[in-house]
Amino acid sequence: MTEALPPDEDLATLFRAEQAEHVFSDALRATVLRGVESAVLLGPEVAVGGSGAAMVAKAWTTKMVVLLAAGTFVFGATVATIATRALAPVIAPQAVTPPLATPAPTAIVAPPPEAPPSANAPPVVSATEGARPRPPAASAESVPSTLAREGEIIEMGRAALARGRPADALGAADEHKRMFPRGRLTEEREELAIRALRAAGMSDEANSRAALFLKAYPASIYGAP
Amino acid sequence: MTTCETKASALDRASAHGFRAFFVANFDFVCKTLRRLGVIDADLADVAQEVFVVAHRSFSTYDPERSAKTWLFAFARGYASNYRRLGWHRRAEMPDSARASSQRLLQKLDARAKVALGLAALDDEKTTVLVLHDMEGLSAAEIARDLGVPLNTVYTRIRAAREAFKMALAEEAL
Repeated sequence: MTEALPPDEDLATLFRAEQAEHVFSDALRATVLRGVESAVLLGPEVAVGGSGAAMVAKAWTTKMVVLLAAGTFVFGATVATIATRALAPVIAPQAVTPPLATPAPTAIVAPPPEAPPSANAPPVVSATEGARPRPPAASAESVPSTLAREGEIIEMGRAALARGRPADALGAADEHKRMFPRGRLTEEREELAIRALRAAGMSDEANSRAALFLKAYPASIYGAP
Repeated sequence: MTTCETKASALDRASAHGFRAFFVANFDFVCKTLRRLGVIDADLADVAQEVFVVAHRSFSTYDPERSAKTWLFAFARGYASNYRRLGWHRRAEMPDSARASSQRLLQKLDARAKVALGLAALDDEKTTVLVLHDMEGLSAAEIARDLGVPLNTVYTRIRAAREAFKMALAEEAL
């Protein structure tokens, strides 16, 4: 990046200090993501003025109904796609055996389905609560930036693929696997890698990896990548 | 389901896939932006959700060649503006930044509050360039490309934004 017009030192110091004061918890991120998924599925009239765990808890059973009904409509594919995504354990740590650690295919263990929220859903977590101790399930990856970092790598790979650079996309997937062998975006990484392999003309490897993917994520929204 | 497996649904699937990674990669940026534009922490989850819901609905228009930050900033700015206009914040106490009126108080404000205070004095164009360029590290060329304005215009806005920002803090300190 070229910095042709640097701010004066006072401003630069203030902006650096300000940047360091922003910390967001994984819990906040999870709350918002679930809220977004509910709103996208249920439409704007439900989304208005509400978010957070309470709304998600309310919406959960509705989503199940919508998911079951979706298959009977013409646009079922679309709704089911979103519903599947909404119900996927996007934040819960995934138990994943890294595939392709060796040339021989290995199994990918899909994560268990997420438990539905209890009736007494936790309150919306404010951003200021980031320093509060979290339940053991989240403590293994309690650094707030871990998930963001995973997302950045996947996003970089996705952008590279969109720009016709499958080798870079594969590099990003490998980097993700190296840094986060049991990461939460393992499903996204595998899907990216498979598309990148196809784009690079390595269809044999793409096919074997896709077979593993389907076994690990039979209900993936990506279908058969 | 095979009859439904149209090109459109394949596209839906692709964008659903991209959106999750997109959300994770940009969540912190959206939250930072909302705070900078006056959203208090108690409302952050609600407003961030609104931003990402509308981003999801518009995701097909997102061009990965361009900066996600510039794209999302426009949504965040709009929702933060509604938030202030509609007075959502009245259900909670305003941050100190809005009440600072003395040198002593201003010195005590943390950097976050100072930035929010300074940005509140800027118009949309200046706010956009100051956040994206000086705080988020986008280059002037990237901003010019993403906003579709000449590079010189971006430079002009950056200079004007810094001046107005510093003046706002100085006035508050009187």
